[in-house]
Amino acid sequence: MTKAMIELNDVAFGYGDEFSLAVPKLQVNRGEKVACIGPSGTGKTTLINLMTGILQPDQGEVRLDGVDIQKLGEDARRRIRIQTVGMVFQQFELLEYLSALENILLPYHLNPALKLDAAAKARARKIAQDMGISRILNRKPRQLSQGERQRVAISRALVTEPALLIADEPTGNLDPENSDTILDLLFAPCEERGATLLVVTHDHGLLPRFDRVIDIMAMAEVAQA
Amino acid sequence: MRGVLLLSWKHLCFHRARSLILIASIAVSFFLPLLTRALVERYQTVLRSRAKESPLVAGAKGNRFDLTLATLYFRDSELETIPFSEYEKIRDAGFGVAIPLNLRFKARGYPIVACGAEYFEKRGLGCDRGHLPFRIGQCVLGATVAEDLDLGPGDYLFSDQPELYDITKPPALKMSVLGTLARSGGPDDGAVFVGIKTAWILEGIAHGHRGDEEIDPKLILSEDDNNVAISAAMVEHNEVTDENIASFHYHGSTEGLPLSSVLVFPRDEKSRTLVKARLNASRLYQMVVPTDVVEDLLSFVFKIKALLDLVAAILAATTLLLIVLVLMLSLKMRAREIEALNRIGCSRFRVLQLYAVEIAILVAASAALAAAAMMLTLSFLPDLTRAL
Repeated sequence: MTKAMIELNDVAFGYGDEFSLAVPKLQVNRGEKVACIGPSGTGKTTLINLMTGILQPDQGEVRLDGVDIQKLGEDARRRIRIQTVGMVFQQFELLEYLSALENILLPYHLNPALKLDAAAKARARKIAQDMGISRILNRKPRQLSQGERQRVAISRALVTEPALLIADEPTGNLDPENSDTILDLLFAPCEERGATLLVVTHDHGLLPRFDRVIDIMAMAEVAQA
Repeated sequence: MRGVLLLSWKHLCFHRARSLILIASIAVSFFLPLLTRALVERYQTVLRSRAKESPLVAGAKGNRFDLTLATLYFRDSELETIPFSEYEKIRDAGFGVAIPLNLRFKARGYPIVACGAEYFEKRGLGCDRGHLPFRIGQCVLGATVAEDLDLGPGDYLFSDQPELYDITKPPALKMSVLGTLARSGGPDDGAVFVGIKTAWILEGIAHGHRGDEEIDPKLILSEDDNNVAISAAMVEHNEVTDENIASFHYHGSTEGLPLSSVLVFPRDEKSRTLVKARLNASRLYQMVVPTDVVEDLLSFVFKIKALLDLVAAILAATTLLLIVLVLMLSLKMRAREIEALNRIGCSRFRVLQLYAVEIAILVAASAALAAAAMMLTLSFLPDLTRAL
């Protein structure tokens, strides 16, 4: 097993003439808690998409969990993503027609490679309990508060026990106290299982809690039209 | 696949109103052509079988559809009458069985079918209660009439009075119910049967009143060898009883007594040809072949069916476009959801599966609804075709 969870070497990507991102070298090690900062529009989300194989770089090499994901087909990239990466989106992206519990178990419904057995259901309930949302598992997202929805989204990212947890601005709309609580909820399971955590954030007050901070403006070359 | 089924099902249930509208729309596009087909087939079967059971119909010249439908189905129509003497001629020619019919009256909205006794035998009708009428003023009820009016042997049924305020017209006749017919599934179920002579009482041609010796001479307006004119102040009997039956009589000869039509059951093909040719040679009367008339009628029905099929096809195409529109809008509205699913690791094939399963569920539910509606309709089809 390699030490690096994510490795980018001489990666370049562009959306036509509108935007381009070049990353000479980036490595995130296993078990590290890393924050990624940078002004809006500098390619933080693009970087995450490159790391997880959602986007393919124009050049360079991207390794996820030791696998050169560019060499994989689309299906294999999806498979490795769903098995290795847990993602928490800024807008949570919960499915409104599913209950909180069904949303947490969504990866199992989407990927035939994941088996929805009693252990998976028990794990979902345990995570929900740790997140403090056991009481609302049968409710639909629109019946939940913003905080509860966020906890459901984090639970969904954790349910497959991913080796890498990526959170895209999870504290974007929260006050400092709640931001700390959310970070606690992200840190605890990662520390427990030795998983890697990558958090994209604007909140500089939270940075001291991370092992390392990647400043995209310092690390990469970004060009915008 | 279980996951896909669950997600599709949950999505449809969440958007319940939209799903139900889609299911109803698709079900209608399934149901309409099936209903048209079933109705047309039912009409075909009913019309053809009744026509087959009625080889020839004689009546006054005029619309042959009216004559056939009135004789076979007792439909309301203003048929010219044919005199009783024409019936006698057909009967006496010995070509087969001739049955006189008078279909000009009603009792509580149901057609009164005044007929010869052979009618019941030829139609295979039998009583489930009581027995067939054997004298004037008695009636036997079709199964539907008996059920609707809750009447049986021993009860009475009044005929409808065509001219309620015209005292020169005969009064409503109080008919005693002698029996009820077993259900036949045809138009006979909805009719009231009387002997042919009872129709002439209803016509006002035959009547009964107190004996001549009891009539107040002041009520006799004029008198000659052939006719007696009596004031309308003299009340006629409106019921035939054992006591007054002898007083019923005709004025004039029976030859001119009116009939609506004559059902003819020829003995063989030769008799059929002869009887038909003889009557059709007349300028006043016609002999129609119900199977031919019904086939002509069905050709109109098929033209209408083709039109209905076209309407159903247009409806189906409209429904298909509606579904495509709804799916396109749904795709647009769910673009973010699909993007999120993709980022989580859901394949495009899985997304396609989600949509395909949703469509399959909608179509299956619509087909089930259409099938249920069709089964329900089929169970009421005999009533429906009768009502139409």
